[in-house]
Amino acid sequence: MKPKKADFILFALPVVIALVCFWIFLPGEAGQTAVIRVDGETVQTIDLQTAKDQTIDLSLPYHNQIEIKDHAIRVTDADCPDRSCVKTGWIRSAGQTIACVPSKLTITITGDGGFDAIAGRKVW
Amino acid sequence: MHKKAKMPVARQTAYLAAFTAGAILFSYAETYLSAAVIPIPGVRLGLANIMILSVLCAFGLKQAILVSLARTLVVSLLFSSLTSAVFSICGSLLSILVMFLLYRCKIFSLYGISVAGAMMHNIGQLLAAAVVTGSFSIFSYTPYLMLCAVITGIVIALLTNTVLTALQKIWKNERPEW
Repeated sequence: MKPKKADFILFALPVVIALVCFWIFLPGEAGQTAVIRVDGETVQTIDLQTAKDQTIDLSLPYHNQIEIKDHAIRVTDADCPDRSCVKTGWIRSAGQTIACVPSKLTITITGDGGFDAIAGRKVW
Repeated sequence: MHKKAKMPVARQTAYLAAFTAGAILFSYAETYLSAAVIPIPGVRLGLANIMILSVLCAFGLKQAILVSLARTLVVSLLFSSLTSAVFSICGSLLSILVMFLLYRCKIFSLYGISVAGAMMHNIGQLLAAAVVTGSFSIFSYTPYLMLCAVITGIVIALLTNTVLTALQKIWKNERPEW
């Protein structure tokens, strides 16, 4: 089975989308603040530059244990079915995200000042 | 590309049941395989799409949707939660519809159809996840998912072609009056 010419449009499309997304979500310099959101609502913001090493336990539909160390944050343990939040590992740059969909939990790192929360780079 | 099946309803039902079983088995195997093969969290091989795409090409849109829904229901009841069923259904319906439209165009081969299917499955799941978590920051996963879609899509296309070729052979040997 040989690919047809038109197939290459479909091969190129995801690559183009990926490049555009990489550009949009380009990680900025080390992020300032970690924002923990549950169901879209901010429950806690942590200044990563000044925060002491600590662990946070969240009892959402599932239990998620969050660890902060050396200006980085990760989910150490979770009893949700897919555990992709744990597998994501440490995040430390603006724009990076950990998501635990079963718990409706997201942890996003935002930059300070002129850095856009989602884009993680200077907007103006 | 491939001839559509013409057979009695009972026989078609039996075939679809076999494909559904295959899809469930692949979904199960994949939870272990994906973690071993691909190190990025959330990325799957999409092995079940071999079965869905085969049904789509050999039987049609309605049958593919039925097999996909049955598979999602069984897999989520057995191995995960109902929340993940919602994501899975969003992803697979979007993917099947797009694959069907591309198949109808007749200018794409299985490769393109399969890659687009993988892509749409990811986009559907991301959309559902963004709605549930109430935050669009989950879309920062998009680039990895898109790049993986190209590679897994091509592998899945090759495997689907094997299944469809085998199916044509079987049907040739069956009673020709069907």
